Amino acid sequence: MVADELRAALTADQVRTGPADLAAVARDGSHLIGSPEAVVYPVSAAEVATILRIASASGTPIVPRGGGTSLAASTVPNRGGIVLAFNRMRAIIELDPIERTALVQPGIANGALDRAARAVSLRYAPDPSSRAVATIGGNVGTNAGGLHCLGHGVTGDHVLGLEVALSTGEICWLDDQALPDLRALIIGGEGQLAVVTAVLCRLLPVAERTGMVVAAFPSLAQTGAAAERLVLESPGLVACEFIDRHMLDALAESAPGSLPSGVDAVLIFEVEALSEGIDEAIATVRRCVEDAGGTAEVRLDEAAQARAWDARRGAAAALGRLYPDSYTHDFATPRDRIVESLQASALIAERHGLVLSSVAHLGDGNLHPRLHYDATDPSAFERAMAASDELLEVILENGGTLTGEHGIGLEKLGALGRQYGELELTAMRAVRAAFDPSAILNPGKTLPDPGFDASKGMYAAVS
Amino acid sequence: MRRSPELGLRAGNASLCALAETTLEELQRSAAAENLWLPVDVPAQTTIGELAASRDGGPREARYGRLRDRILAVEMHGHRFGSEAVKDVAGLDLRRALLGSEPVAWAVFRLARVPRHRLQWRAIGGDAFALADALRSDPAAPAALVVTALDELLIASDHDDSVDARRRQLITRIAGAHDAALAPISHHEWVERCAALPAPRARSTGAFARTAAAVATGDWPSDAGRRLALGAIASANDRPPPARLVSAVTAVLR
Repeated sequence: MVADELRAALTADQVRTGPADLAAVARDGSHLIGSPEAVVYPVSAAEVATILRIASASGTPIVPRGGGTSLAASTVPNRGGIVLAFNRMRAIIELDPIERTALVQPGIANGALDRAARAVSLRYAPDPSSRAVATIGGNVGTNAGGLHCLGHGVTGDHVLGLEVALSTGEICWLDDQALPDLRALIIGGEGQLAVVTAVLCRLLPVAERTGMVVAAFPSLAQTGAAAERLVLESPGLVACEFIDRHMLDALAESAPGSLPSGVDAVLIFEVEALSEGIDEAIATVRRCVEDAGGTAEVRLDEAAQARAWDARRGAAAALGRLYPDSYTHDFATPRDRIVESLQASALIAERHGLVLSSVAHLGDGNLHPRLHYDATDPSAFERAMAASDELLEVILENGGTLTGEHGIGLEKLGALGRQYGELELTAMRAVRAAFDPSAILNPGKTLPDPGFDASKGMYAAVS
Repeated sequence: MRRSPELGLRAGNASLCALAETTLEELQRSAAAENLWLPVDVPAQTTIGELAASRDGGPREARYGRLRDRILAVEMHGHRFGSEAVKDVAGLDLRRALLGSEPVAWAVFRLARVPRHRLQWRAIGGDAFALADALRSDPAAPAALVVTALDELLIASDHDDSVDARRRQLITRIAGAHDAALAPISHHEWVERCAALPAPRARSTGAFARTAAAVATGDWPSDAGRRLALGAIASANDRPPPARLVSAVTAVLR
């Protein structure tokens, strides 16, 4: 049995098969549940390589797992096998304040790396809402974005090199200068090509000043128009976050006073500037907001800004209390189609009799419409799927993408073939086979197998 | 089903789709009509195909991000990868992986606003490394720094806000403190000088001075700098990916 082989190679404490141990890694931030046979806690790249060699020999699936926050079921062990959990590989190997880099193990939480960097007046910029828990390794797997990606880019922009273990047990370093850039394939590869064992991260200096404008709007059209204009016109704008009425209503209960309520939508803008330039940067945002028919509240002190960000990060959880069953999307649209996409989302949801709530990284055109349904109503799930298909069609027709930062995982497996033709999918499969010929790494996800039946729509793998 | 991007400027998305044979000058002219530009320090007659093949946007990558991260979509050997959204994680990223090793038929670029001020200087004299480090560590740091010799530093400063005076004063003050004489240079001269530097000048994470210096002088100010700029190569040489993997990925579209 593989678990016994692993215990012999590692220590018994590192290989767990008890029901409680397995239940802890059977699911992630999605609503799907897998059935792992074992969970293994390596402490080094060499141990990861050993585990991979043993798994390869028996064809046992390996599911790498960081903080377990995937919203696309990327870390659900859907084909059983071993969950490779990085809870014990979370060290900062070296933080170099001169070169502004950090070499870290993959299990470190995004927020922990950022805190360490801030101790030397630097920061790790990509900041997914789940950063307190989400790990750098997991961020690499999905090329995670976050709230400030408008100004600072996504994970891939900040990863200079990767140490990875291949399923053969070989360990290698993937440099961002080599051709082809294999590093770029691992980023966003959802753990299907190799297992990341160390990450060389780029750090940025902290901003001298930050300012926030919380803008309230009476309609989606005005909100979208302000966002479309500001991302092109506002110097120093690093965040443009959208929260809709449903989310605001939920936050009014869970975090009263943190954000306006009783309006159709709020945008949270953050600007960074030198001290002398902060007033000008804020004035530009305020002018655009007011021109679009919104009202602007300026927040300059850190505590007030933090309240808004905490509320934004907690919006989905706040809403979960009201609507327990929902599907969260991750579409990204070109930025001149933001208004159109928001309005189309609302219309499609209404037509299918579904409640829609939304947050969005609107400056990036990255939308997270959430379709709520009553799971006790047998037709509700089908309606949510049908609405999802229509939404996707609008996004693709406008030149957008199925997923901006969550990844495909299991949840969107049925839809990748809508965005890519068989020609591109065949090339991707060939890359996967080159990296992992035994196909043990996170199998059954991300890339649909040839002949995959997507006729049920974008969630074919789920429904 | 997804649609193909249309050639030309998509101003509302700050993006532009150009054929491989388009020159950078033509691209910049289209973008400038909407106060946008592709922030690269590359000669105007460079074609988009050449630019994509080089993967090198020059020293301003320190301020604006890597060129490869500004390419939203490409066509390579009839395969289309990416989309016109600025964030896209659907499928494996063959767009970035094969950029530079496979030719592009067209590419969609993410543009930036033209900064209100775009200034370049040449600082002669003193210790160029020390000058670069002093400038780099200030919050009002210039957009790009290039050490071309032990006593010559090229400085580019781009900004939109109304703190022009502070940025100029910083450069003047620190140059004076390091016994360097400042002379303004044109954007054209800046580009020509930068283009003459051998690759890989864009390796470092903002410490462009050290990267350029490695090429220009073979000298290094710190072990950390040496490791960062050369370490990746050294590491790759120590533990490179298997040749079978490199060749398989290289051949995947052919």
